[in-house]
Amino acid sequence: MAKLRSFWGLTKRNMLVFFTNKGSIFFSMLTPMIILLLYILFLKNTLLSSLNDAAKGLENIIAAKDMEQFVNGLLLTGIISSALITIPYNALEIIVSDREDKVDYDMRVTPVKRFEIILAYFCASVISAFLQTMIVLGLGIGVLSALGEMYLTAGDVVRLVGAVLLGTVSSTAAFMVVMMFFKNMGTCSAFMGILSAISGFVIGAYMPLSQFNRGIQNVCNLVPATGVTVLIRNYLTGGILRHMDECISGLDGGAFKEAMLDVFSYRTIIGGDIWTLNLTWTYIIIITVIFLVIMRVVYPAVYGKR
Amino acid sequence: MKKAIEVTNLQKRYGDHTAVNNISFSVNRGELFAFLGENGAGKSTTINMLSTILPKTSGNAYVMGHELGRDDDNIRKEIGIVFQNSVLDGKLTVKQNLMTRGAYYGYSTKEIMARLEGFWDDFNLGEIWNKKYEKLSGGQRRRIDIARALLHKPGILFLDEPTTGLDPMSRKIVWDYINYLRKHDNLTIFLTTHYMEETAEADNVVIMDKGNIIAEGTPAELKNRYTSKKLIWYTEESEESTRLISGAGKTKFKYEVDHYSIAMNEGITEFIWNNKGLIKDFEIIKGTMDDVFLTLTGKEMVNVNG
Repeated sequence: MAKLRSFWGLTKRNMLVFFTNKGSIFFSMLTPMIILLLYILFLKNTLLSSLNDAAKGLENIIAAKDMEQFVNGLLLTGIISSALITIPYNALEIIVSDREDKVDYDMRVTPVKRFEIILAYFCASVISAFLQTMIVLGLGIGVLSALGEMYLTAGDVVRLVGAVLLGTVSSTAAFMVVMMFFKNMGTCSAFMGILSAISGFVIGAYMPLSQFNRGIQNVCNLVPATGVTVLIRNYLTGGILRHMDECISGLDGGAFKEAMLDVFSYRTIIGGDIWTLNLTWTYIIIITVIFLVIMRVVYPAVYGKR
Repeated sequence: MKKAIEVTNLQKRYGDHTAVNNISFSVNRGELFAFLGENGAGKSTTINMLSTILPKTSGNAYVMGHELGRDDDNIRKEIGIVFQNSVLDGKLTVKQNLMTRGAYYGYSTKEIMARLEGFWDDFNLGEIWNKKYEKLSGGQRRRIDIARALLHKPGILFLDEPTTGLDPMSRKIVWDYINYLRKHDNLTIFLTTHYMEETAEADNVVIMDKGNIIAEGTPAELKNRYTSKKLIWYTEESEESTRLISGAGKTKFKYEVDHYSIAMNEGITEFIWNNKGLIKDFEIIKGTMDDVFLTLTGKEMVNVNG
């Protein structure tokens, strides 16, 4: 019981520090906000125009409202997927700031084991990022549901929550390894700037990955966060895509749906192989476990060795 | 007498730089032990090694009977530290800071509150309980730092320059409480400071310079060993008085503001007696810890009042 209390004390402290720092919350939502802004400015029109091209001849069958909801769903996918990168990163910056300000000394003079301190950082980031992302997802689904039908099933919602949780754990595990190398907040923030700039492209939030050449797509698809985006895209907009396909009633021989799956990257494609969603899940879990093993083995060896 | 700390040939090296160079000393249980030296003398590095934060390069140390490097968990249970720069979280309230820190030691909320009852009135905790730590005055912060360090009833309290930057009133409050703890809890206090006056109450003093111990003993022993008494003769500066002092064979003297300061040696009593008509306003003062440090290092130390 005492062990649990000390672990929870550390985790709670890390979460409190993150949630009481308005700057951290703001910067963790910067990329998702940029995506929203780009969407309002031009992305929505670009995506709708691609959709209309693909739906040529089906204008009277597919409702314009459904097309708009579908594009809105793609926007929410981009927001959630980018949040799953930036929120865990910002939540983990506390490791570097604690080290820089020597606040970690206060933990290291207690009987708590070194690995428990590291694990508490990890768990606090996972919980904080999951909660914050779920709030954004809840709000997003609420707004989209107010605009029109999303055709989300209970199964879709459960799988969506699962994908968000996997994305949170996966990103946090990867960034735990990255944080080992930062000695001060200056370099940590600089990396965040680079991450914010490129992550939107890598996961296909700014534009569909299908717009890139096959080589770049292969590299991007190897990034676990891209796989998480594929899962979220499927679970969040799969319902409305199914609905539009049902409206067409096979008149196009499934061509519209297939075109959507290709253009908006609903499947992980590596080296020409199309992965099933289950394989994408498995791949992300394996990569996450590798990062967790690195965290378990390497971190305690380097933590506090100054 | 049982030893609280025993250190033998303790060394800390960073590459070619030796921060602490084979130092040996011991601290008795229940005593106020002062570690004196300029910034960079190696005081904080020594505390950080003894408190298990920094690994030692070589040497041996026992803290409350537990061997450093082998029995660190038990050492951590026995020590409390007030760090030079506070390690509590500015954005969190006093309550959040103390509750999370108490949990590090496995205490329940009830147990932490019971422990804090002892400080509640002395530290005016009720008044500042829900205030953010960063909004407190310097003195209030230091009191909370001390309360945090004592949450788990340690046997040794390390105070790393606890009054640096505090106003005289806050400094007095901190010292009143330190003295209270010594008398009522028989706590061993290991103090590092560069304020000379703060060592006057110590049972034992160790003076460090450039990573080496250059002197140790009680304040009285050090003053006797490294300083001499002075005759302070309050009079106007005049050729006659100067000639009188020189003529009596007193070669070490100087005039300062409103008095002659004359180093005491044999014949001083006779000198005063023989010139009692002239020497009417005088005092004989003992050497100070400032003088001790000046003699040993050739450097002036910081005075609490200036």
